[in-house]
Amino acid sequence: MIIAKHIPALQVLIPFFAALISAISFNKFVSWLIATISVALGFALSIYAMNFAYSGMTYAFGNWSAPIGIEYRVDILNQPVIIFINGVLLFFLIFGRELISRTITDYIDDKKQHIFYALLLFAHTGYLGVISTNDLFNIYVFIEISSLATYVLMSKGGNPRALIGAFDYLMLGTIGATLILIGIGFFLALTGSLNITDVSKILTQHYNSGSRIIITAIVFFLSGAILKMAFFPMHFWMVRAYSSAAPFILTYTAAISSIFGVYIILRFTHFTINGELIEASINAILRPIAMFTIAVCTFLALKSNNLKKVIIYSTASQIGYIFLLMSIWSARNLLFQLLMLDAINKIALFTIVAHLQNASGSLDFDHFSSIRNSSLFKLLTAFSLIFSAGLPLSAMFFVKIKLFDLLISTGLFWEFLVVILGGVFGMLYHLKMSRAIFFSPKSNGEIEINTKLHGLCAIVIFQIVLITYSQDIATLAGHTKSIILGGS
Amino acid sequence: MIQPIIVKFLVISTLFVGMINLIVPFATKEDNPMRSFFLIATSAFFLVNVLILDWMFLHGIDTSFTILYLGKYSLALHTEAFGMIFLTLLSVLWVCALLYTIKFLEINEIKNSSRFLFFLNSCIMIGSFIALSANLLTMFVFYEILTLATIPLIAHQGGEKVAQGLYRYLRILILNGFILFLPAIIIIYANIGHGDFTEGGFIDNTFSNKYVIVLLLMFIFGIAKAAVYPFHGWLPSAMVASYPVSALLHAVVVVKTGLFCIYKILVYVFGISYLQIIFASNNWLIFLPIITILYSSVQAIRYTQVKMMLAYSTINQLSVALMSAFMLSQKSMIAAVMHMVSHSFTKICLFYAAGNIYSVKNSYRIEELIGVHNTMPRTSFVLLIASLSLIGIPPFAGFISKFYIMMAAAEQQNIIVMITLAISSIFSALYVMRMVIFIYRPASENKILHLKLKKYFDESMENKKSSKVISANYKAETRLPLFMILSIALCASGVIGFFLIQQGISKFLMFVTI
Repeated sequence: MIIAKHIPALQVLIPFFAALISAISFNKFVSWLIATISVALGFALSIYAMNFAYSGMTYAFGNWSAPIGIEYRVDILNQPVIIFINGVLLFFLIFGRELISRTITDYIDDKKQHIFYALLLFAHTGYLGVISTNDLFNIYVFIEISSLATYVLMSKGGNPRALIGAFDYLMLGTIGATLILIGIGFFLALTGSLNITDVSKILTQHYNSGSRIIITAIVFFLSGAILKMAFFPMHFWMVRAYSSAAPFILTYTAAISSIFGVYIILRFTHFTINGELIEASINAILRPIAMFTIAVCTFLALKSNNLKKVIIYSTASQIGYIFLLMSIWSARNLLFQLLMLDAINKIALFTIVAHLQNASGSLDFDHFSSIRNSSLFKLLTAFSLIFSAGLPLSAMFFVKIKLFDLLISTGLFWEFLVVILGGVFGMLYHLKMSRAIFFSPKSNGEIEINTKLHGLCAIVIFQIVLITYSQDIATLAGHTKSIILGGS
Repeated sequence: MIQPIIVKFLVISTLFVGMINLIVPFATKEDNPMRSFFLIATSAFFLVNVLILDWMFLHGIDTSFTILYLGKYSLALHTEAFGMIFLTLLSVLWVCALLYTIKFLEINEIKNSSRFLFFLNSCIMIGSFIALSANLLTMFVFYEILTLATIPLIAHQGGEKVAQGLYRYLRILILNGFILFLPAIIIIYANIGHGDFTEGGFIDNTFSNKYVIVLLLMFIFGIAKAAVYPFHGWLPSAMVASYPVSALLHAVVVVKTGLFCIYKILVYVFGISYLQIIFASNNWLIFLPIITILYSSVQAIRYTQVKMMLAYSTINQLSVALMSAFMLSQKSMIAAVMHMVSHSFTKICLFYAAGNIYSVKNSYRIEELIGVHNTMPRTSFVLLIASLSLIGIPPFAGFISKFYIMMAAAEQQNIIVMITLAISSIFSALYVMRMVIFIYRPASENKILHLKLKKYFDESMENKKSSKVISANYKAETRLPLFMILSIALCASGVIGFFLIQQGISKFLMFVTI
């Protein structure tokens, strides 16, 4: 089949062209339709492409083969991520139309509303490009494409401070991207190549020379990526940007950003450079910071006085868990499981926030409006909170258990204690959230959820399905990945 | 010989029958006779199924199967002696609880009764899963789900006070579960590779003695449902709920789950004989419940609200059972199981009788109980029996189980336990008798005339003639629904006929080598 050959490129190009078309469609509905169809197509295509992932598939753009031309790949590391990201956006588009229009596009000039979907598709193109490409400079280009579009997306919504938040994001995002670019520049200077496979081959000759350029390059690239991911000391931009952005847009950006960042880092540490070279330093530097992040961010989440802030800090604390797992060699088969489940949980929570904010309820715990007559909403919220807290019989619970088991069996006692501590704070802030949502007094005013709940329904059902298939998903998401990454 | 597959099928079908009862509240209309019929019929059918399982178990047929395969951390069920005792207890009390609760909801005009009954049934079903759990993780998973399933019951009436009580309740139960109980489980799984309950325990020689003690303490304090001293606060907090819920928490499933989990862990994880070696020189473990007993005895006397008094009395009795279990001998273990069952029947009587009085008179405090004897003689009688049983007066349930504990203590010549048991009984007598005395104190006609009855009982308001009002008030009890009386009678027969139940329990316990 002729199309099958072009799948690696098509996955990126379909949303790109769809973005161009929807930008000139001048109609909100048409542009939504274009976006949905293109993403659905991309989703189907990416599932189909999973067939090639095990054997690996490369694509040379314009038939310029690898070291000279730009190379796209489909392999077991990136294809599941592509499927996931496509799935998230598809969910966002299909189930979120009402919430998008009520909480985001209503605040945009009538004539420009269709641009929202075009920007969404541009951002999506960027994410997919980074994940598909096997070229260092291409990674930078696509990071910029996705970031530029995301800055605009984040600045929209009812809260005027979203603009300031987005500006923060823009500043630090640009700095991060620049650091990545400098890192790439060093690699180019050293190896004369941009193709990842080629670079890693050439670099093996340089490791023994003790060249400081390599170390500098690695440091630049990694600090850029970590800054982009909002790892602890640099997490402030994220808290500011997210807390003022429209909550529903966060279901997309927050769900994708950490899995995206982890992908970049893994692609870099395992394919570009020799991962074992920096293993010790990563353990020495990143693990304590990761532990600190878990403790501090969960504590801040517990102390914050706003529903949305709690969720944002919880997102920040998850990045701590992610880096903790990344710094433990044998934990990597849990990494993608955790990332995926956490992303789904965050989608559910931000959707709930979007529903609440749309009903113009206050999100501050002190005067949280009580919710009237919305028993389905309450039920779904209860489920989402249980899943997100990792209480028994959620898929997250089993991931947590495996994490605990792993920490004990590898003898990481302090890490175990910190994770337990983080878990305790986690429970407490979930209790706090549920208390606000279910038991706020009527004197704080009453609101009614009148938006359609099928999106929330879909997530909850999906999560229930995840429990029954958690073993299979663990194998799919973790085991195969760990083979390629060399973990146990 | 019965094929194992049939037994498996029977266990699954039994659980399935129980599940049907989860749907019934939503499939039928509120306050409809059909609903009562279906609910009670299903629970009775469940009881019959469980009895068949019991019969088969006593003929040496047991079974086990996996419900969710997750590698090392699979969820599995297994029928064994302790579990069968607990399951039978649950299924018997389920019938009583449903008989009582359906009508209680009706006459107290509690709204959303479908939801209430759904979660009540869920609690019992989850309790059955805990009873049958084959490994530590299954036990933990359902233990936590049980906590979650009780939330809607406690929160049913809503309001700020309830929210506060609920918050404290959850904070203690969930946090202890996740800080102590779960880590202890994971440590065992990570070091041994499995957590399947094995007769005689399976952790011997894996850990050093100190480590074992730490693990044991993690379990004891982690299972906060057993309400050992510093973590007992959730029980009084949960008293914001209505009487059937309190009965469910105290007598039927929740605190009993706590006890049951600790028993099972002592016997099947650590192994009594292994613990005997560790605590050979000095068994300081019994001091944990003893502190709780002394503390709760004093607390119970301080309160004059019936509910709070009963809450501290529960904490007290739980610790008596734990004290017996911590004596770490075969006899003491049997005594602990006996006390668990006898306390179930005693407490359910107390709560339902108090619930009756509350339904009729709306009384919360002990002082408001004056003259109840005159208007509600039968309820008062049940309350009297249950109180005597709680103190440990022969021939009632409490006496038999306390006698077992005394025997076990005598075997070890453990004077501290004997003294504590005596103190506990004396204090129980003090606070329970205070209530009984108020009930049996004769009240003047004037007082009965001014009884404030609930709407359901208050038909006589139209005719203002005092004699008619008095006679109507006298008849208040006869207007209680038959189901509630029946339920109380069933529970009371359990208290009186405990010597029969006790024989059954010892038959089951023959199957365990403790």
